Amino acid sequence: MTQRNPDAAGLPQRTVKVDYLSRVEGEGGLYARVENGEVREVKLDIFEPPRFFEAFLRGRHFQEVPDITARICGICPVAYQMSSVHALEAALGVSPGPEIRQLRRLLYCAEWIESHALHIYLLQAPDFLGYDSAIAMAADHPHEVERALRLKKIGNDLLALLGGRATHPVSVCVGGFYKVPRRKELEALRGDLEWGLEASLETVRFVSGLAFPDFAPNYEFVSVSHPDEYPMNERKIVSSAGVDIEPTEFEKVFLEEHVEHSTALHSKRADTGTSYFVGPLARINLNFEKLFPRAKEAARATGICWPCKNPFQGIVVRAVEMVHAYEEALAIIASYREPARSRAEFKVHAGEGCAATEAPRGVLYHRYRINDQGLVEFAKIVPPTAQNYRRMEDDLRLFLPGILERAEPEIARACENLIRNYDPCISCSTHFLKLKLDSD
Amino acid sequence: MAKPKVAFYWCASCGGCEEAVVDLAEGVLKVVEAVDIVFWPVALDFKRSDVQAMPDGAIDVAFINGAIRMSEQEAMAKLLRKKSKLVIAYGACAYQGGIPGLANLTDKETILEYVYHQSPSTTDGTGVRPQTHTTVPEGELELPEFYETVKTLDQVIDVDYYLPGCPPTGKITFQAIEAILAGKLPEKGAVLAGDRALCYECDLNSTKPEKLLVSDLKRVHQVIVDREKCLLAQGILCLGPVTRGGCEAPCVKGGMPCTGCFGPLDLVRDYGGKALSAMASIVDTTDEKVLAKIFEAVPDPAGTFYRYSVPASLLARKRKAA
Ligand code: SF4
Ligand code: SF4
Repeated sequence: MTQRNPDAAGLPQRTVKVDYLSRVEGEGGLYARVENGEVREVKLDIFEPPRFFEAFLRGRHFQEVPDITARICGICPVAYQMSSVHALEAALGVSPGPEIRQLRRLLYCAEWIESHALHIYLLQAPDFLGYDSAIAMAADHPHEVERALRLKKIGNDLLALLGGRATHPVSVCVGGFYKVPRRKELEALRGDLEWGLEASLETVRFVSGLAFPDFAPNYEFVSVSHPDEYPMNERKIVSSAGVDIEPTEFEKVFLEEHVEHSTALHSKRADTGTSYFVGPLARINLNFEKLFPRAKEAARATGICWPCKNPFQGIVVRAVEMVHAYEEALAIIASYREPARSRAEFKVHAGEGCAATEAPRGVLYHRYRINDQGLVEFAKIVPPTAQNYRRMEDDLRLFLPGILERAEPEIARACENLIRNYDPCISCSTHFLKLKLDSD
Repeated sequence: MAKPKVAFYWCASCGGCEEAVVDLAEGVLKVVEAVDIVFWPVALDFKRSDVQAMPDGAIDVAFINGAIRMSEQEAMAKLLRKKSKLVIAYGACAYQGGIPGLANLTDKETILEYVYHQSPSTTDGTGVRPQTHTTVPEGELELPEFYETVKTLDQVIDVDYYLPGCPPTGKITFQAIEAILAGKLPEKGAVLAGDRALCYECDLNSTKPEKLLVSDLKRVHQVIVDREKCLLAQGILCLGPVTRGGCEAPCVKGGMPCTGCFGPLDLVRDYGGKALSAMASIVDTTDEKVLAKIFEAVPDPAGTFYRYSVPASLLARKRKAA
């Protein structure tokens, strides 16, 4: 949509406006002002209805928290459950045994699989292939769409087996699980998982053949880090600019700030005030060596030079992580022994704790304080998309000058594509996008 | 016959309802073939202006999920109502207010004050709150206005049918779509999931004693559950008897009691009230003091019995009147 308004100097100004950013999980708009070919201002205008989880978690019993925080995001409920569980376990001093830990990683694998399959094929591939949607794409690429749905369904089946239900699983609790799977139930999924591993390798080949715009900003990548594992649920936080901290220091290093034009909070580095990048691209760049062998091999075969700074290639990274998730899921199942107890015993007492885990979209930090009855006194949740908003604005500022020559609808589309690289799950912080571009 | 035109829209939601639609998996392709999807922001590049340009009643069915939190959602709901012959409230949030509705236990000012100022997550100290209008040189950017409370969809527009669940299952979604395609819908206002309590589809129902009496109420994390025996008979708070079935009891199969996401049965006005009285009636005492002691096992009754239904409840109405 184009409007022409005279500006103060009487010069015509153009406004390109996209009233809804589609194919992102949430609601938002984008506003940009350009003067003499220079980008003066970029604002992400988040109008996703904030649902104020942090406020109404207060007074709830700590064991209800995982069930409630799951509802922050229907695409990545596991990450919300698990970050809250880890934070509450830190508050209560609970540490479940190694079998539980493996099962939790398996749960993450399942969620990464279903979330990445959805984003790669159904939300992002249409951008690269020039379709308006996966539905339009399905007519010409039926195999890809069918592959996507099956890849996703296997993730869902694994989630449903471990969690009781695929969306908003119910078996996760502080201390472990209410119910753990039998070995033979997991074994029954092996054939599907093996198919999924091959199909994800096929996916890596498919997406690495797409044409990517040339764009490589100087990002500070931030992710969770573990000495021997590709990061999922533990535990330190590291960055490409040298941050290396325990979760307890997270709020000293990263700040959330309110902005008038958005219902969501925006994050930045506390000391420099600069933006940072969380998500698959950050994870792989900071943890490449910890990928499982076939995932690593597939990543090398893409021809991308790692570390990779092109956010458009995030789609390739998601495919590589999907390979990893299938590989690791198979490995966990192969060595699975049913734990004697499905959850650790502990005494409820007052306490405070925090944790960061890797949601499909990046670092997800939670902190809770509970009283001696186990009721939540405060909750803090810093979702990945909120941490990326400022980075998205910075990206747009860098990206716009290169495309200003194009027709307005195309500019709007290119900006949407750029934002979609972040797989913004605006429903997590709140929903997402609307594009207004003013230029003379 | 032309394919029916269908719209999907989300209000204040988590995206789980959209997942439920995508998770029809192979089914979704059948649906996509059978209908003409004219609006679905999560998956399709159609914009609001496309909907505005449609003649009234042009959409055959609109599935709307999520609760009404801000002016934006009310406006979209009204627009879709005008353009659609049928509106279906999809999922617990649109139907009963859902988990975001727990926010109604406090008021808007307290919430905004907490979230944007006092909460430990707001470390920037500037006290900036989102504004409905932000001035930029070219004019104003608009953000929708927060409402005092979370509302259900039928508190802002007329709703034809309801699909319960957090989220609804693929099965009931598919059945609803089939009923629409076949033109076999029940009376307006119906909840499209049958009118039978969850217990009737629970594997453990055969172990539930006819006259259920327990001396104690427990919550699932306090005990090790006997997987072969009705949870309620073990004294574990399971809301199966007062909750509409249709989900096939995945939670109980997963080792968890039902928390009531499918909402009340047809003749029940207030889900939480009904749940509370049902639980009180199985406790083997009439002594109020003993009863109060037993209910101490439930430190958060509102969040337990009204987890998905505060906005739809009489509780909310009372607060408004007060
Ligand atoms: S009370 Fe719960 S466990 Fe018992 S039969 Fe009903 S749904 Fe099943
Ligand atoms: S068992 Fe209860 S909480 Fe679980 S899906 Fe069914 S109605 Fe919802």
